[in-house]
Amino acid sequence: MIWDNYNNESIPWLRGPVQDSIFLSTRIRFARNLTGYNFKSRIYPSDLEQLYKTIKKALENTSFYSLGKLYQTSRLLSFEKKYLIERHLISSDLSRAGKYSGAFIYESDSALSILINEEDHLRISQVFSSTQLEDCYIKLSKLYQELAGKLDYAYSSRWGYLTACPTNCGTGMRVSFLCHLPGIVSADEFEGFQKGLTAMDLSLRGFYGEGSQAYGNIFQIYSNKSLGLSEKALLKSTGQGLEFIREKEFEAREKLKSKSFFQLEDAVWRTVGIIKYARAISSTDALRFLSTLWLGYSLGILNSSGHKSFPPDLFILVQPVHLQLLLEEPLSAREMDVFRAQFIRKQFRDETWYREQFD
Amino acid sequence: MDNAGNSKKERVLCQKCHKNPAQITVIQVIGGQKTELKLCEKCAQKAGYEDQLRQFPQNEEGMISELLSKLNEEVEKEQNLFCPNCGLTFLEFKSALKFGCANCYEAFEKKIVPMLSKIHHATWHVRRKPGGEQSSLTLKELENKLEQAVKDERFEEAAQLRDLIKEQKNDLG
Ligand SMILES: [Zn+2]
Ligand SMILES: [Zn+2]
Repeated sequence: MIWDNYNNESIPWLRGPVQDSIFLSTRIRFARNLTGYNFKSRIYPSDLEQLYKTIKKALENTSFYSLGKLYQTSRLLSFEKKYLIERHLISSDLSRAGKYSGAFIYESDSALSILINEEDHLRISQVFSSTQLEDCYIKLSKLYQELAGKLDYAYSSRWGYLTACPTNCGTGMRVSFLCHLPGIVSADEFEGFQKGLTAMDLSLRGFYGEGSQAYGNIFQIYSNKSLGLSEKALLKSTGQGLEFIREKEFEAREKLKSKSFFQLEDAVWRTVGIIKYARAISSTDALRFLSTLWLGYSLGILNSSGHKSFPPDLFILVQPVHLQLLLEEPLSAREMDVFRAQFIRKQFRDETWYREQFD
Repeated sequence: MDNAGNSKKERVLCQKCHKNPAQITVIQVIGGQKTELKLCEKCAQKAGYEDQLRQFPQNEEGMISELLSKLNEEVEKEQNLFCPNCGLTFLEFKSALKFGCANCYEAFEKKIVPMLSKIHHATWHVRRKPGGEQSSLTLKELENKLEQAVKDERFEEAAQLRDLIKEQKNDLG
């Protein structure tokens, strides 16, 4: 089974050495298509297999192929696909894609995923914890260079790398951040914040992508300009975007603190009580509680014994498929809620730096 | 001259000769004050406003039918447009917003410029060069593109091209 290849008790690339009180992770991805094949919507069925094999062969000849694993989507069980989606390693688009689509995945201190025959022939992305934008770019560029030498990409001098969607042409590069914005949400400053993002060519969507809800106040914020600026220029402008997000969220948190500290303190401690005593917790409630606790730690309402960080992978570990993996028997939804309550309680009791509050 | 279009409405007389019906309105800004001057064809010509006269067809009916036939022509052109490589029609592209192949970009080039300009605020790819951003076109090619863009009144595109030319000249200098 696919999860045997991964650590399901913590996600190494989210619990990385660098942590932050707002940013869970930073992702960069390149979209590419090969010359000689139509794009996804118009490709000849007979070409799909050939295309898949060409990309597979190029991957097999890279130095990083032995580190990860290539999965053909059609050979994965739906449970396995859900697992990869929960972990943010594949998209739900890929999980629905046809026989000759796949994903090459490699997790270490960062996560690499290369999607084959999703919206574009190739989507190459790298995720690092917190805000390691520069490191993420350097690592991804290295892997990319190696692969690019083996494949022939569709390119024009006017439009750059040619992609299926007009929003991706040019560099084909997109930067995105997963960030925790409880301050902006509760201080009711969302509208102004979104206008600010738009002005910086950034957009926002929910935790699990387009159309999904921002459970636990977690959002994906991503760049939407890829034409007319180089990779380095995009890196610079998204770096500025990152600072803007941080500034706005800190401002909102400070405002909450000075205007309604008592209510905030009360909400945090109530949540501690729930985590300590609740006997069943649904997954949406879990994300809500985790968000409140994280805010409590980052504002110093809860004491983290010298550790400033909070394990952001909990937002993924409390998802149904990830929880199920820790058990022998399949659970009903109700039993799952009971197990989730136990799991979260244990997480907070076992981590020494939480002990003060959760003993 | 044919004044059929104007005769139904209240006639406004030329503010210079006060004889002929006014044909164009000239807006002047003098010392920060905006003034409107309504002139007849003759006086307008004398005052050097020939260009403005040419822009306004003399007769409203003529103007409307000309506009309509231009519009129809555009719609028809759009309906017949397709990519010769993958067969995707422009209308299909417009509804799904996904290209069918790399060649679609060229096949629909004229049509997609405004759309891409809206998404990216740019219509030319640039790469990183030491000291700045650069297009993969030569200076001469860029200058020709700029001239064409200005001629076609594609001003946002022209602005990006002008910046690219400046970058390349800086690189050379
Ligand atoms: Zn006159
Ligand atoms: Zn095409």
